[in-house]
Amino acid sequence: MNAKRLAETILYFFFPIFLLLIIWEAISRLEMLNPALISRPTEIFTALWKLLLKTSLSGQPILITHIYFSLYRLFFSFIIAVAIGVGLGILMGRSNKIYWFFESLITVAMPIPGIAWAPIFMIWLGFGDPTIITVGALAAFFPIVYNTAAGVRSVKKEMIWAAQSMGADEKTIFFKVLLPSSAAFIFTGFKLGLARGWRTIIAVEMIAASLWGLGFMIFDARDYLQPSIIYGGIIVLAALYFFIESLIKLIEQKTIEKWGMVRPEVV
Amino acid sequence: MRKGRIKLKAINITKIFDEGKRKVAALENFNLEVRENEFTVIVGPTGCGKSTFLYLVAGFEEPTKGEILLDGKPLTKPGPDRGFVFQEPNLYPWRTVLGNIMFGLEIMGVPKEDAVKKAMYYVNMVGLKGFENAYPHTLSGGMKQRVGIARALAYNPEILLMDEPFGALDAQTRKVMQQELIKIWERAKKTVVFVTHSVIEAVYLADTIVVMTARPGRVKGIINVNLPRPRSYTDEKYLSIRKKVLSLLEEEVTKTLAIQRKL
Amino acid sequence: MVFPISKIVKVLRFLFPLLISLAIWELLATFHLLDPKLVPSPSRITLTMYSLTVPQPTLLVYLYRSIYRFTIGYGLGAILGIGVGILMGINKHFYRMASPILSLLISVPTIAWVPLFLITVGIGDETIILAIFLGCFFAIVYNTMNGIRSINKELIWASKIMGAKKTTIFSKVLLPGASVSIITGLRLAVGYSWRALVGAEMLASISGGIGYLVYAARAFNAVNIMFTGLVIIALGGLIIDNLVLGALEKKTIEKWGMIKKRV
Ligand SMILES: Nc1ncnc2c1ncn2[C@@H]1O[C@H](COP(=O)(O)OP(=O)(O)OP(=O)(O)O)[C@@H](O)[C@H]1O
Ligand SMILES: [Mg+2]
Repeated sequence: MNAKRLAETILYFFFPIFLLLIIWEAISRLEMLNPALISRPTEIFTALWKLLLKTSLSGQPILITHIYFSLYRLFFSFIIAVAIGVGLGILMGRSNKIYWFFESLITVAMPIPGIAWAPIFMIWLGFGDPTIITVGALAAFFPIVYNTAAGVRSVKKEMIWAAQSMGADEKTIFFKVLLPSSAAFIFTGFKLGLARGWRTIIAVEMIAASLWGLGFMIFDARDYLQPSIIYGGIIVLAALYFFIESLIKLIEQKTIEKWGMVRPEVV
Repeated sequence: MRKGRIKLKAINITKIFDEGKRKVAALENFNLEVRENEFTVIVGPTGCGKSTFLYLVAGFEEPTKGEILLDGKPLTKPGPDRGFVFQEPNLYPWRTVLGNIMFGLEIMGVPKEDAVKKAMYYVNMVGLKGFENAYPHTLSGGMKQRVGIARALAYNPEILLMDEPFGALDAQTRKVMQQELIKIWERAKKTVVFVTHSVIEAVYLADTIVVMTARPGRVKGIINVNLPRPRSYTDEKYLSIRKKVLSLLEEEVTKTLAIQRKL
Repeated sequence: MVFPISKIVKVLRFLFPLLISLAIWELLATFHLLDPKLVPSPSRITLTMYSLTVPQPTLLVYLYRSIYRFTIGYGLGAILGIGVGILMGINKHFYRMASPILSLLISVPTIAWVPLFLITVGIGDETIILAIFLGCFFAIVYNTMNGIRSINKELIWASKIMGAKKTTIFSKVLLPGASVSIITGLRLAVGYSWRALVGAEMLASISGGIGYLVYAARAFNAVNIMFTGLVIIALGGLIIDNLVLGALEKKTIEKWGMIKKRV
């Protein structure tokens, strides 16, 4: 019974996508679209397949290496953003003065898109990983610090008092009360930060990467007029993010939801 | 008391909710007659299908089997011959008190001036004068519920369907609302079908009390309340009727609890 | 208009940390602790802004260009996005077909489309406008659809029983009921479109636009111009968000109590 349900869900999900691809293929076969500009789905998948099999001159599998570089940049950006964001967020949550000082700075700087920082960082740090990872971290930092501070500030005084009256010291209060009760907020910050970091890294790779990365791959394909590689890249991006998101959902179910601490989500 | 003609008739109603894995029979062979201008109160254990029955009468949902006759004609879809008061007020937050109460008249195409006049009459009737331009979120729970009642009355439906309208209120407000409802009903002369959990409330309000069985819901017994109004909660006849209803109900509540324990 | 003291205090409290940071930054620059070729001082940035505005309003022309592109792209995205969102919200079949495609496309970074448009549409305004459009479109579709699909069915029922026709239900229940979600979507989407604008202008502008200003400055290592661009980008985003959509929010869903007032 359950397997049938699962199959149904999968069918409902993939059927419209297949249908779209078939219609698209049919239209381009009928030569209603300019093939130099709009690729057929079959072409796109062939291109992707080739990219997956082909290796570069130095023997690296091309598509995998592009993916690897983007993911590894995301990883380091995220780690840096979490370290600084959670640290500062907790300080902001605990002290009204620190909160007041940084809140306006964050409000002003947060809406600046990550990619707008890229040219400046390229002057400071040059092409490649340092710039890409730093700008990615900067982009991911804001939602993390913002939500962490909000989370710590949302912890009810009564909960801290209750722990104090049971004789808990500062350290215990921090690890046993503050962190768990703001976990849902911090997790939301992580999610938003990861998404923001990912988008920024792909964008910055377009202008600041010199050889690898999905953003670079897509932008480079433009120079050689290879729309099917761009489409392929878009599909890979969608699939990768879909995968990352499902992973996050799984983690969320195993932790936050189990503790009954879900927070209404704003995209 | 002389009996009015039959306004509403439910014939062998069965309603089964199909949730894929589980099928839930909310009502099974449910039969009921409701007389014109009478105040009929339905009581029953939780989950026995009271709301479901009201939804069927309202036309929000369709019965799996059986049919419901309104004035002898089979009932199909929702329509302004009926008014509905939900357990939660369910007001439109983007409309003021007056705007909510006027909505039915607006839908009927009553000219604005007349609609305002009529709606204001009901604003006064439910004691909300001075609040007509307030938005629902600024009102207390009791006030919201009164707007809900006024909204259902304003377009003058023949039948009023009320699903535990006072369930969420505190005891004091509840009493006041019961008294007001009786006044409104006596003035406006309507057929009322009222669902409640509270036996005290049922005996205070009803001409006829319908006791339902545990799920799947059926009619367990019908008790006529021939007490003059306004009724007193301490009157001896009142207490004896209350006892009768309670004893009918108790068996069913025990059954419900037993079912829940098994689940 | 008279500003209450508390409002002025609030603004000052907000500005004070910014001013302190700027002052520290300026001091560091004055004492040559920052390399002016890498980090210009706030006063130099201000001077740059001035020299880019007087006598020739280059900066304003660039900004105007961005705002022009933004208005078209975002406007189209909002209109079509709300339209498609409504369709997905009210039509089950359309929802079934479109929602998987939506959930895939919504996770593609907007900037990834730009190289494609560079090939198919070419460098220039159209590509940038398309990027702005895509930047906001999916978020608006998603939020509109969700808003309609999550309206309490009781609110719809309440209008049906009052005799509302489909068109009335749509315009007087579904649309206002979804307004919280629609406005939230519009508001989020401003940020997304603004982001897409900056990115697309960097990659696809031949002339004009604030993103192009920042990117083109790279050729001369003109950090002061880059910082000028950043300031404008930050202010532009804040202003559109607060003045335009904030005002819309106050007039509608905040008044109706459907969201809490922003503190
Ligand atoms: N839309 C639905 N889908 C599936 N099951 C439903 C649905 N509506 C009601 N039920 C089930 O039908 C049964 C009767 O529900 P109903 O709401 O009519 O009970 P009720 O008598 O009004 O209970 P209460 O006094 O708690 O309001 C319940 O077991 C409920 O779970
Ligand atoms: Mg009920």
